[in-house]
Amino acid sequence: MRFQEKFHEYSKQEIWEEYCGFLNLSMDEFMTIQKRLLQEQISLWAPSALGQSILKGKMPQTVDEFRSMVPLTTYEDYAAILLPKQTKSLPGEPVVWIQTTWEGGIHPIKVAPYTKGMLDTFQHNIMSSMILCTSRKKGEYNVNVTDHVLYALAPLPYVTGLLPLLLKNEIDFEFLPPVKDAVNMSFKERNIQGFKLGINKGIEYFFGLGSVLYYVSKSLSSIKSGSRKSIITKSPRTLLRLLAARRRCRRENRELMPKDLFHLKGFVCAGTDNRCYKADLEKLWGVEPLEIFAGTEPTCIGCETWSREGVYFFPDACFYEFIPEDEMNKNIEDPSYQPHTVLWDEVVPGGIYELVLTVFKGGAFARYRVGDVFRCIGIGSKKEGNSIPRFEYIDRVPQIIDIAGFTRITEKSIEQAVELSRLPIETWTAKKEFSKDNRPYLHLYVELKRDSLIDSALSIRILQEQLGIYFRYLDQDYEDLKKILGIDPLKITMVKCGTFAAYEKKFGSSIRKMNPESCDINDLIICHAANGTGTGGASDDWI
Amino acid sequence: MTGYSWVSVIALVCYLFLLLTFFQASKTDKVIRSFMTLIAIMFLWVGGSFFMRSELGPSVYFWHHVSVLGIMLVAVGYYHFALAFLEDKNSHNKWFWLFFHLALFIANLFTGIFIPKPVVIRDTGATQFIYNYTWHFYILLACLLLCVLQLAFIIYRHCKGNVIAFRQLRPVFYGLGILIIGHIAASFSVFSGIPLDIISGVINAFFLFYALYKKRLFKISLLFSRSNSLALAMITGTILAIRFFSPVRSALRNGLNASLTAAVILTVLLLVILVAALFLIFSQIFNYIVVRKEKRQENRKNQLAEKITYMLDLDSIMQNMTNTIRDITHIDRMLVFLRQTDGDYRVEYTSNPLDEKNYYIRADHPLVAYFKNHDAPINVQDFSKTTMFRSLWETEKQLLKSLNADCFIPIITVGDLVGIIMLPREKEGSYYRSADIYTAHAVASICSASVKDACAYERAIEDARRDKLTGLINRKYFFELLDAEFKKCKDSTLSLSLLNLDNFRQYNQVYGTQEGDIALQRIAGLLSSSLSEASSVARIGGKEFAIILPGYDIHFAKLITENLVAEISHINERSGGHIGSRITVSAGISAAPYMASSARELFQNAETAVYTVKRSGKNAVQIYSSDILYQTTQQEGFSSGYKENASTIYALTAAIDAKDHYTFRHSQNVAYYAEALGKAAGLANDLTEIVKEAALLHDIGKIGIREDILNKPGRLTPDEFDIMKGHVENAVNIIRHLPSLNYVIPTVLSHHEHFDGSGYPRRLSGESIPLMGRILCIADSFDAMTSERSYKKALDLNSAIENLMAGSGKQFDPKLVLIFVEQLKSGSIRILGQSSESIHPLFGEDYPENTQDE
Repeated sequence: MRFQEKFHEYSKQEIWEEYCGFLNLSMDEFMTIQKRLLQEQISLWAPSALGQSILKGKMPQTVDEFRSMVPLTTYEDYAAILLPKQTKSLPGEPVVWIQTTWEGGIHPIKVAPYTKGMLDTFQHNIMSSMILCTSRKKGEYNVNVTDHVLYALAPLPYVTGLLPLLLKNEIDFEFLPPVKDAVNMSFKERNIQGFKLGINKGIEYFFGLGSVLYYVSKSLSSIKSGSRKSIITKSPRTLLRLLAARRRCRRENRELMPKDLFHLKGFVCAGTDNRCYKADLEKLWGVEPLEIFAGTEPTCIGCETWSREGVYFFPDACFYEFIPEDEMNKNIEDPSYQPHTVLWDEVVPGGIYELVLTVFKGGAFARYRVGDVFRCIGIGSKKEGNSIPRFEYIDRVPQIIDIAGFTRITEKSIEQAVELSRLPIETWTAKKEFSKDNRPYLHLYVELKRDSLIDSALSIRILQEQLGIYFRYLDQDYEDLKKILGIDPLKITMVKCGTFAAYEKKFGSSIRKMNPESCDINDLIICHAANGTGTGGASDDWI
Repeated sequence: MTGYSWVSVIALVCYLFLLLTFFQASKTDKVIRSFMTLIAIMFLWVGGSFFMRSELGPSVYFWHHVSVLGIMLVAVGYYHFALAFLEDKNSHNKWFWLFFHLALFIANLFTGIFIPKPVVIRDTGATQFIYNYTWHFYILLACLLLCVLQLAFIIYRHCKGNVIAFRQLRPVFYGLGILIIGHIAASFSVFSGIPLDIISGVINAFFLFYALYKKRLFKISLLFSRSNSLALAMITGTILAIRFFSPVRSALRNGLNASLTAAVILTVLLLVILVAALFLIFSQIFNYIVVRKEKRQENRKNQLAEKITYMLDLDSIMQNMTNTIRDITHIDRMLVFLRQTDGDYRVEYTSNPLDEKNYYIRADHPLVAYFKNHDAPINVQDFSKTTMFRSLWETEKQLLKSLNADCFIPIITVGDLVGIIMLPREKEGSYYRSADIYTAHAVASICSASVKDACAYERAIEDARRDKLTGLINRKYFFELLDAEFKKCKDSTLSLSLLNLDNFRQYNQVYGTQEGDIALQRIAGLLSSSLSEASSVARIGGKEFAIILPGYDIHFAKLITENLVAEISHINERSGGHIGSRITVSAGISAAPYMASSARELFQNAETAVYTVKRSGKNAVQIYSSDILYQTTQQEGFSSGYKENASTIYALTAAIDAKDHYTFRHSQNVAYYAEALGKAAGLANDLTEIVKEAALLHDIGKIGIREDILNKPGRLTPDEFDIMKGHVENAVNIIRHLPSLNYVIPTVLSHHEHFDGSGYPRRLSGESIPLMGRILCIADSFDAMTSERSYKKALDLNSAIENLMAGSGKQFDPKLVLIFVEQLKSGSIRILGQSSESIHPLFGEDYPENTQDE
């Protein structure tokens, strides 16, 4: 039965219980679901060729055996079977293969198989998110068949491309512009067309990456001023609405904002750095966005609620394990170290954890390090009347620098860019930092080769341009960041020759290449200031 | 009484009936509350009007105002109902309209501006009510219209493009349409005298009622409750009493010329009779609709309870339970899952014999968890909406789909979920009535304790009939079954095959009882899986199996038995068996009616055939005949195979003697000591004979050992010692070729095992070493100690005894050592000793462990 047919058959309360009842599970009930589904997954995954390629002949039967026999995995462990799409080696028959970029991988892309069971669960959890994003209190939601969704999603084979298809299975939402047209449009065209249709029909939902949502939202005023005639239709109602919005803007002496024209029921954002955009998005739309956790490998695994007090994990998408922060750090220091994990019911409030997951329903990934770091912000909520943990997304693991959910830069990709650019860079360290207006950027601290300074013309701008070219060459997402969002998030600080060596001498070890602690960066800067051997002056510049 | 009055009475009864019905329903639901409010408003309208026309107290004008309040609030009531129905939150306007119309009413109450008080004209008994409306009336109409228009707008907004919402609201639209048409039509003179407004109001109420029913906000059975029938009778009676008390009293007074008091009493009496009659009629009607069916169901349930109370046959209980459910409900198909010993629930009974039974529900299935907390049926749709449904495996979801499951009913007794009844959907789109499901649940509850007891009883019976080790039928039940089958096969054939494992005692001694048990389990598994369902396999003795083959003649019985015997002989090969692990079987077959006229005779004949095989070299299949009967009467006890093989043994030992002539003399000495110790230890004669023969043969394996090792004048290297150790297995291999002597194998094989587990070849310890092996070990070592060697002199008796005592509990069985030493001290055993020309120390000089001869 489709979701919209349930309106006719069931009461609002029953529908809420079906989709959002997981919020009221006890810890034990949640873990019962988790362990039972893991038991199913063990029976599918362990005997499969993919499972055996990791288990090497072992055959776990129980949850404990599974956790002890299966090592923590990364995409490298699956690449040999997944990239050639060896269907017969998988634990379940895939219905669709979803694709994404493989940050720092041996191939430019990585693919993940989705089975029927996974898609069903994904669909159910997406509907739960849809209900929750319109809810203002427990049991109260406002989803209608006639609602419209502004389309700001990447099409298939990206995971966001599944959303319109899954939603179509449940409810006849109208996408603006229609999906079949949108996939053939450029990003800009899609936005213009979406808003144009939205002004006529209304927009009730808007979801996407936080950064993209922000960019699209900001583009409304430019669309208005740039192509007003194309937007304004002859409909008197539309005209009235536009006039009222303009009057309000003039009265408040500000630009036209989406909230002047639209009244969103549901506003959903996903990806990294959402916290940088949330406040602005709320200001633009008048609705606080609801955050969800979703990804190519895990599907949709968690969602905020009406209270926006943190994200709750869905019990049936994946089996969740968490690497505590100290174990994570040990592993960064010594990559051969196998960190220990705790289960969902073993997390402690305030704890920072790297997520490890096993996809249920015949999914390929087992004890997979998805590369995301969360903080448990509490267990149980009086406001929501439940007793389960809720989480806050912090960022990607320190080894990966994710800018606005668009691009993921690794040590390998920076090294490749440096190598291809043939710039005389002696050494470097990279850190994700945030600008004054709370926007993320990649801050590269570089030290040039002393010998090259004599016969090379190397300014910050040259370094930035050269490295930027190769980042774009190596990473399509980085290119898109520039192309779609129009931002270049690279900042370079050049330190004097010998600064890194001075740091090493002073502290006994070299500074971490990726995302060192802020205090370490400060120490580096102190070394830079104190180091008298250098020939170049410290300089930094926004590019 | 005019038609108008009748319609009013009927309308009031209907409204009150609906109100009372919903008093029993969930009043916490907003929609139900708003519906009840709307009905109450309509009751005020119609009731006020009716009571005014009936000129009831306190005054005509009081009832006029009540009626006006109803009229003024009806639009607001509708407005509230629609908002609740649509789950709309437009509360500001909602309260605005309420207060606005209340204000209009209050204004009208004091001024009569919108609806003036009627002018009452009493003319020849008939009372007329004349309303002199002014143009102000249209203001009221406009206000009502505005409220309705806003409501229409809200509905339009809600239903725009929303087909489902429109479908839900359709009965409300129809009701509203009829209400409006009724009121418009009532204003036409053509319909004067017909209370179309009231009729349309009642129809409208029932349309709203239907809309609520479609929205599943209550159950239709609420209408037919017992309390409703009583309430309905009383309401009707009361309304009739109010309306007709005066006319009836007057009529009686006039007609019967009775006094006022008598007329009043008579009228009251008549009304009481009327109410009682009404109650009777309503009760009968409701009984007809509900109670009669309920009574029938109750009777059937009582019968069932009586019938199954002392029933312990699970099949009969299942049959009775499902038949009762089928009789008193519309349920026809059922699958009954019952809990097994492992906690899983398996299909034990299906209403359709063609239904597959190969399904089960795991013990950790969320449905089981659900029923542990809720003793109530659940349909699959509702179950799929629970959060715990999310833990269902894909295969379990597929099973629900493939079985077309519609509903599950628990069978619970004292909180213990004994079983689950699954109702498959008859056809797509059809659903079971909830009344039927709850009746089936009641029947299941009645049977639950009996089902639990019967399951426990069946398990106990099954346990009593089964052999614990192999899971096959045991000896006791085998004879019951054989008798039963013999009777059943009176007009056809019945074959019996007995399979007796050869040398299984030795097998146990050689490989240990654990290995022996495993072999028995494998054989049992093989036999059970190789036979048809009609056949039965039993374990009737430690190493004896019986196969009952109903309908099989001798030819087929022999074919089957031969195949089974061949399979058994390969059983250990497939599992990587080792030396001597091949199991052979002596099988005997008998068949009725050819060779037996009773079950007992059939069994005895098969046994005779087995014995014949045993006597003639084992490992064969024999069909019973009268010839073999004669042979078996000549049977004896233990007969030694040594004599018939004596020449062979002599030849072999002579060959060893040629290589190591010490061995032959040694074997004879050891045989003497072993026999003496065996007797002293209280061994039976046949066992003493076995240990003696084993002693003579124990070193026969040395024939395969290289002479340079055998006669090496110094200490053996570890490699040489390994080769020397092989003489034990060599001996076993040689003896295997002398089938009539293979009973000595366990003793020979274990004569180098040490009591503390440090011996070889199998490093057995303690009493896991065969008794005769332990005897042989002492005898062998004692002879080595007391014999002269090139590197040592023979020990005297005391030193030998000391050495024996030192090795007690280490190399030797302490109990046997004591017996042996006692015998030596008492002179019952004398030292034979031996001189030799070529003697070497195999282990060096560290007695006593190494005194044993190799």
